Amino acid sequence: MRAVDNAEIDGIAKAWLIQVVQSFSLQGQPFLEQKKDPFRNPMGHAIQENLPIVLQEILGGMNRPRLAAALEAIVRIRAVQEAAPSKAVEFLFQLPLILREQWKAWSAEQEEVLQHTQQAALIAFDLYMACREKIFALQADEARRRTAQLERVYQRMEAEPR
Amino acid sequence: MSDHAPSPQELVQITYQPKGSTDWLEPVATLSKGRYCYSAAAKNLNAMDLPNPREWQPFEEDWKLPPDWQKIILNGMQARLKKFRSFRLFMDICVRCGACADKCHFYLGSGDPKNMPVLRAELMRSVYRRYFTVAGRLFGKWAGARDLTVPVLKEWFYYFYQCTECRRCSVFCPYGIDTAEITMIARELLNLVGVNVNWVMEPVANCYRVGNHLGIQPHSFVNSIEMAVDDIEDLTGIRIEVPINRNGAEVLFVMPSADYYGSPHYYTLLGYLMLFHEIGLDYTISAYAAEGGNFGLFASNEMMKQLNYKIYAEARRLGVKWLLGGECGHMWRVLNQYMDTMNGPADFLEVPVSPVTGTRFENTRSTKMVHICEFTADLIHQGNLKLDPSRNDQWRVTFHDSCNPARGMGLLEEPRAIIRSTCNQFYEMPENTIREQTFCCGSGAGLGTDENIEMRMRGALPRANAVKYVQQRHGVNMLACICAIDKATLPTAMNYWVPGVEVGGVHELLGNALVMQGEKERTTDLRSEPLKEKEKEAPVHA
Amino acid sequence: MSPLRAGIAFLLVVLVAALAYFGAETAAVRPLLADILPYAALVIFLAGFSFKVIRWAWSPVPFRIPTTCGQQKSLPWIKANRLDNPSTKTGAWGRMALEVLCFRSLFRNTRAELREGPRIAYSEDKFLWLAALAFHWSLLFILLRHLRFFLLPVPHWLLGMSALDGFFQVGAPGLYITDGVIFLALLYLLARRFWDAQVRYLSLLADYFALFLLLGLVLTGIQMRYSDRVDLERVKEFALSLTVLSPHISAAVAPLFFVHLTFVCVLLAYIPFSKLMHLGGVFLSPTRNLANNSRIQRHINPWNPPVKVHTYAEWEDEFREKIRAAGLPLEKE
Repeated sequence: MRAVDNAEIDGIAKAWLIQVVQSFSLQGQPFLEQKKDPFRNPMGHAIQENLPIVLQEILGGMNRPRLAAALEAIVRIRAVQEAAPSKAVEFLFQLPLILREQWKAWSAEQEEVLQHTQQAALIAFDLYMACREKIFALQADEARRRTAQLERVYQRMEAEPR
Repeated sequence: MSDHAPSPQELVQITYQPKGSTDWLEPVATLSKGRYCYSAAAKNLNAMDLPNPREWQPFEEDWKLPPDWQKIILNGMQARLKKFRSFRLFMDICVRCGACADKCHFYLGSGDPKNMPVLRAELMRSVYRRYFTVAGRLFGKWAGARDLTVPVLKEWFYYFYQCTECRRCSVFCPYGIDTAEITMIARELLNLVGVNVNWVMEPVANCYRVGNHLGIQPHSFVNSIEMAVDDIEDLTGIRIEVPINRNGAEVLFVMPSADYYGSPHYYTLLGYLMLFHEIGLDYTISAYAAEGGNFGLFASNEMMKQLNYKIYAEARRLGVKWLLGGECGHMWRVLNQYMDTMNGPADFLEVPVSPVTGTRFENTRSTKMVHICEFTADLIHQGNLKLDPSRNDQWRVTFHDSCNPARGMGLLEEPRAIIRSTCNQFYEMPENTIREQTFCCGSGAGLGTDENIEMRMRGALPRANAVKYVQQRHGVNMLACICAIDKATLPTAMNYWVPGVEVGGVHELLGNALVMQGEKERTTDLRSEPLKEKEKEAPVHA
Repeated sequence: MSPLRAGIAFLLVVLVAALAYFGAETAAVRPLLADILPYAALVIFLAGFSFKVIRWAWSPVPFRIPTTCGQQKSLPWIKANRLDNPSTKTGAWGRMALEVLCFRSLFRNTRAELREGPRIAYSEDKFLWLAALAFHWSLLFILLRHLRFFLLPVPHWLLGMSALDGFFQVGAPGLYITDGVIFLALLYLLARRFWDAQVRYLSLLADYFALFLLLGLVLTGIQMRYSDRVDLERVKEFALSLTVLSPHISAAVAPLFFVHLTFVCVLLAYIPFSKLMHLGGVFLSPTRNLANNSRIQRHINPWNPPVKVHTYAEWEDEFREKIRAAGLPLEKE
């Protein structure tokens, strides 16, 4: 694969970030990139932190745990924002187009990057589904907790009626 | 969230550009699922004599509004402009400086610009301008005014039920404009045409008739208290007594009902009961005024008053001297800022005096109602409790200030004082996420329902983010709080965003640490989890 | 939308300027601008402002709803925050003073940043606060400075104040610090309406209009003082003539002054119909000007409505058997 230096990664990451942020924000308002405070802009912070990691891994070694952890941070937020999986993992499909623009010549070597992107998208999709399933599980759990002690009371009342 | 499966064409059309600079004056086209609560069932509206009971749902096109709904709303606005200075003022003086914009947890978690407090208020203000100001009447949308149409009404419903009335924005506003106040008025207006959510109206109806949110009837209530007594006996070997509806007690204790039917609230209940036994408090709880929470606050001032009525009424009937209130957020907003005005004066009660320490609670000399944290902090400070904080060593604790005690009262140090005395490991979250700047759990004000879960998870993101910070830094595994809605919904949020952090009440921690006279050696905490082995003294190195 | 709104607001202000400029050179219009407009504007301002304030005051404050921003007064050993969560009237006055004089709430805009190492750094996100404070204080100074046109003799404190303002003695005539500060502050406040995506999205035409109008006012003032100098003696004559209700303006006064004057008049007349009413409203805000003492002293709601309640007797009647079964005492057996 073509060697990509840090400066180039930064450039690509920046271009990608802008697009991701734009497609994430509702009504097309690019708000997320503005505030650096992780506590005042948790969403933007998560994207800013993790997108470059995803990019590094796709362009580099494809360290799956590291890639998955970074993807998860982003997808977890998307999973409570856009129920359509296509929207939630869309950001990965934006990358090849940015790369194409950046690199102009699309050599055979860079096909590998494309493959990496696809793999990352599959991982992201799985993570997304896991998050959605978690939400359903949490709903059930919350409903149970809401009356957890009451259930016990009813069991007691059945066991030893007054 | 799109409500249909995307077509292959849609799938390949990936957006690379902003979706165009839309104008906020345009109402949103669709109400997305997962971001609103279901409508209130007709039976609940009937129970409270509310207008326009019918079967309908927000996702339906036709909301079956009364034919003259527009007139009803506008008349309602007119009436409220005359009744609330806050409303009239907040409609007039916002300069749209944007200081509040990134202070809302829903905006931070969703990026939806209409979740910026200023725009949420503008949804109402735009209608105010159109019908109640000269500029708006003359210049229409150029003056930021818009007609009250069905889509605008739907947008009101959508966004005023995406506000938890947490008041965080109000802290930062140079004029103190409080979006909670505007949301409360908006919900009152929506009630007038029968647009309400069930998660608010059902608890209101239950609480009104039966006495608590779930509609648990007196015998089950008594049973749940008996169960708590049994559990305490199992834990400590001490059989305690909990008086219910007892005439002539000194104190009436009122708690949110979730404390006796939900988890992890229940452990807080155990904590209260153990404490009262240990200090020999002459108290009673009531099966009639069995709900401290007041979902009327999330519906209208009249409903708030209807529900709150029971507390003073019951205190009078039982002939108690003063009132003590449990751990609950919005309950304390009502007790602190509304109760005395609405249902006072409480001249039949006496200024609360702690029977143990003799402290006179001068800060409650009119309402005669003391917060349990004030009461307990005083006990601890005066050295009247024997505590073994090591029994909380399994917890590395951080404290979540609940919105209402923080911004509608200022109860900040009392719970912290209790935690510091009952836990060895206490770590604060970052400064701009606690105390008066605390982030909401994202589920308050009647939004804590299943169907609204996506919105709730987004709203909880800022809070969770701060918890994550102390989890990573200090290994925090317990988020302590003093609010029943927090205890119901933060476990879900933690589980989603920061797995490994439990949620518990301050008096649960107290119950763990409280050394009771004649108790057997505890092997578990209130949750029946084994206690952390006390660390052996480190061997001295030669 | 926003650029369009800003553009229209800008054109409106330019239109006002053009009307004033050419009006000043038209014999028929000139007296209208100098003799009638100031009074008309003042009357609209006073009537409109009082109307609004009275209407606010007319609406009661049914509930005591301060936003508490600090520790409450409870136990004697817990230090209460007397200003951010006042429990007394004096404290509430203090809180209002901090709010009005120092913009306390805007000052809260802190920002946490994670830095390397074990701690969070709080950087200050205080530009908005600084610009707002700079603008409002400069405006006050400038307004007071303008009193010298209306007073004869000019009181000493006013001269002293002007001297202080021109302390740095830059240029001739001496540059007033406030002129520079207010211009920069306004520029910042305007610029952030363009640059900050959030603020841009929510800004209305009125927001831009107020800023452009004030900028126009400041720029014409600066221009008259530092470049196209107007005959200040004649202006003072005019100002004094206004105060004795026999307005007269010398033919020597340049049209630029008319533009400045018209901006002032438009601003005055515009205030009651706009968000600029915050100038009066800030004092009435119930989340700020009330003490958090609702448990100490009963707050009265003048329209406290009667409501239907569910009494204990009704409750007991409905659940009598269950209450009995649970072994709880009954009022009526």
